[in-house]
Amino acid sequence: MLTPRGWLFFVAVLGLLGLALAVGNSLLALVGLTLLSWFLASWLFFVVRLRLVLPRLSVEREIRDPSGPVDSLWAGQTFSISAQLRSESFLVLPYARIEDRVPPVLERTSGNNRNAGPLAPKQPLEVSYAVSCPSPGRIRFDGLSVQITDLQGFFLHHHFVRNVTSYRVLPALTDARGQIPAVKRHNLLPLLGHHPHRRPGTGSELLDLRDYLPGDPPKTIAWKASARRGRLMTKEFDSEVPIRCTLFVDTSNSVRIGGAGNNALARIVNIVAAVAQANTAGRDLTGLCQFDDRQVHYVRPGRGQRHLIHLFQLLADAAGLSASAAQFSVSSLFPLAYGLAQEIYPEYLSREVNAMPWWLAWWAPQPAYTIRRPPLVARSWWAFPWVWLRRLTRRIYLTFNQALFVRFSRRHHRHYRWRKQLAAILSVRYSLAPGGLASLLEDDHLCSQYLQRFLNDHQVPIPMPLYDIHGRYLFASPGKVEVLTKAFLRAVARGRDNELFVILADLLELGDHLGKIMAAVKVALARHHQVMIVCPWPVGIALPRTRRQESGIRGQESGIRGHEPALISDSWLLASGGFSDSATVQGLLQRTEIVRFQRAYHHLRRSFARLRVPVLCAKSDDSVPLILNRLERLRILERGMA
Amino acid sequence: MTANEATSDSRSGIRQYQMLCLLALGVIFLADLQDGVLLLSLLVLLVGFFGVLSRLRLGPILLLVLVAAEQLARQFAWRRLQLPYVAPLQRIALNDLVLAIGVLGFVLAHYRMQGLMLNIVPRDPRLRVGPGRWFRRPKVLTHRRPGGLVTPVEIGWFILCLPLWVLVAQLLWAWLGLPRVIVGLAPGPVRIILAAWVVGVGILLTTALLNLWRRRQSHPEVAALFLQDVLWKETRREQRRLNRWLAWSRLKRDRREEP
Repeated sequence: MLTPRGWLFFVAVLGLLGLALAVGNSLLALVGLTLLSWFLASWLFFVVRLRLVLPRLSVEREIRDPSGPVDSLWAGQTFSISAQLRSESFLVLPYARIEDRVPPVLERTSGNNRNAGPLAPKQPLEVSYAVSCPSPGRIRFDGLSVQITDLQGFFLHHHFVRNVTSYRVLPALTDARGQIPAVKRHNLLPLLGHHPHRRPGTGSELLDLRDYLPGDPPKTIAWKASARRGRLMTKEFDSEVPIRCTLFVDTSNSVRIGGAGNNALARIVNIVAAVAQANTAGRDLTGLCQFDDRQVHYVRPGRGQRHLIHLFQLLADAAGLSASAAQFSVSSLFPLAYGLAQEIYPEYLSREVNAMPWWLAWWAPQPAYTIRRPPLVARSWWAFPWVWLRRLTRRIYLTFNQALFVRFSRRHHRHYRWRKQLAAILSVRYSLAPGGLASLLEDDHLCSQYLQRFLNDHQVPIPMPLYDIHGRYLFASPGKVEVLTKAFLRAVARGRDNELFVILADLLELGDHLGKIMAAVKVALARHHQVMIVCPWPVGIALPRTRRQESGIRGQESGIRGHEPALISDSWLLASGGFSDSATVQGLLQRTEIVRFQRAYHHLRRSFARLRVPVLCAKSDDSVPLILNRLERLRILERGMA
Repeated sequence: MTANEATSDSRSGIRQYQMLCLLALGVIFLADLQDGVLLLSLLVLLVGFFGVLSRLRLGPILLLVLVAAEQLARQFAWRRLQLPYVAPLQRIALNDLVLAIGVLGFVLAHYRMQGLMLNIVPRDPRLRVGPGRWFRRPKVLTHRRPGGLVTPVEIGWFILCLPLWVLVAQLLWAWLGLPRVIVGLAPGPVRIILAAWVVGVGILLTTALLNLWRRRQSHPEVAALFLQDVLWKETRREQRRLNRWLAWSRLKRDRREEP
């Protein structure tokens, strides 16, 4: 409540008054009492005013585009956001400073998300700014952060006026052209479409001429042909039918890395949205199947604007998902989570409701036996004694460290305090009480899970480690292969005629688990369906080489590396901006990561090339028309039009 | 509003409080000059002037220290040197009231001026602006009150309220200044003890009442947090022991399940 300036003044005035009373100086006492009475009265009035005004504060928010208020946003467009802090109390706050927390997904283009001034019943405080939405997803506004102070800067109160509102940012309506008409050989779909089908129908292309039959419409009579042959002939036109396309979208943790809106999932969503839009423009049917490690959500193929908007909403919800890792160090999450709690839940951190005894970290620090240690595994029998010795040494070190040294560590004391206060908040927010506080305080795994959930709920980006200490990819999600396989086979079983199945999934680090999905793809191909795989490429990693580049470099390097296919060369990586400097540890790690991804991609491409299933690589600067073009080319090639 | 107009508004607000500070300094100087020493009064005036012009954060505190030093010097002179022109103690004259008004006015105006020129809310070292250079970190973000928000009504209330607090202080002094002897203690220590009790107990009681009021207004989640905290305090040791065993068993199970 009291600022450092206020404390200094208060102490100075008390000192002055004490001195005056001690020496018996009436003038000084009068000055001291004047200052003290003013200070105490101001403090009392400030607090009383807070108690009366704070419950009557409210936030009104409006998002507009050039045509008026909107309920959902579109990626790639600019919107203006205005938030008003209103007071219904009769009292006036002399000075309030408000700040609107801009969700990390949005980019502020103009205006200011802060404002300050007096707050009166008929004088609301307003922030107004413009944002652009670069990627689809969900945005969440928690409310307005308010700092209330007096005009002298002696008293300060942090408050957060909560008004949680959430909006969808739908994928951009791209200028994607419709599908190129392709010949369809079989059709069971009764709906009108865009692709020619070699059966008599009501299309516009001439299919055949035949003798006139009674009942044929006169407008279909081919007069020239009738004149040549001497009898009435009728024109037959082909049918125009749709093609069904089912898109399988991976929403597992592996594509969520990088924060909402800036990850592989956002790129997948953009591609899917563009494909769905182009399909709708071409009267084709688009189905959607979202899957992760555990569950699958399937939307039957459909068409029309309503279906497209429904797909967009599902995609926007999916794009807003954030990654979470099971093995995440708790201590690296504390600063983020505590900073967020200070900003959004200041009253939850008050010592009156969420106290932490200062001596507790000294008295009962976290014991070594509840701290997760990465396993040390002996890879051969002769390494076993050495590993056993390392385990023992580590255990002794950890035990001594936790029992003795951390008691005197300031960092440990601070983290313990943060952990207790955050555990209390999480326990109440996620209804874990009454035992939740102690559980979160002692169990690192549980605490990490809830902290990640807390941060993800408030859309705070978390820097994620990709690999564990043994070099295993933490986000491989092998469980999703089984889920994808089941969903894929289900879709194949329900397929009516030749369909197109597009799998947009991160299958890069699943080398040993691809067998099931490959078997499912074989089933689809055996039923004359078409399959293609679009693999999202991680941000900041150089694209895999094309066949031409590869063959050129292979020719250059074949003398050095023998028959091993040349995957990466330093010069190529440097030229493509893949990594900055291989001399530093950071550069070396980056290079290793790039090599790993490139190898995984080549392995994936080779695996599916045996089935004649193309694997595309989708990077952020890959334009959606390129993907559509590939889709179209695939259709045309497969149906013998090229 | 153009940028020039905003800047002129901001400057006008600062100028108004600067004028008030100088006016209060003048009042202090004149009131002090009536029965003080010219050199000391001039020193107070100069230090106050310096504090106004240099935006010194400690300007008001410095002025209070100087006023106190001057009064103590006068008291010392009256008692030890028996100088005839120094007024006796224990009597509050009109000059003293005016001086108190001047001091209060200077202090408040200076602090408000600091809010306009330096920062009105404490600076947060986590919030910085601009890029750092070499070994220098970026500057801490400061938030000043816009000068355009200073209104004539605010200035009017500011001036009108000054005598009120001096009157309140005079009433308090009339009660506190009475010579009392309690348990054989001299009047001086008795006054200190009384003042400490009145201020301390008053603050404690008021804080307790305000806290009670705040709890009645608190959000259900905050109330649940309070109850949970009470439970945790009461059963902390048992819960800790149980949950540490649970965490240990979970780790052991995870180790077994790991490939």
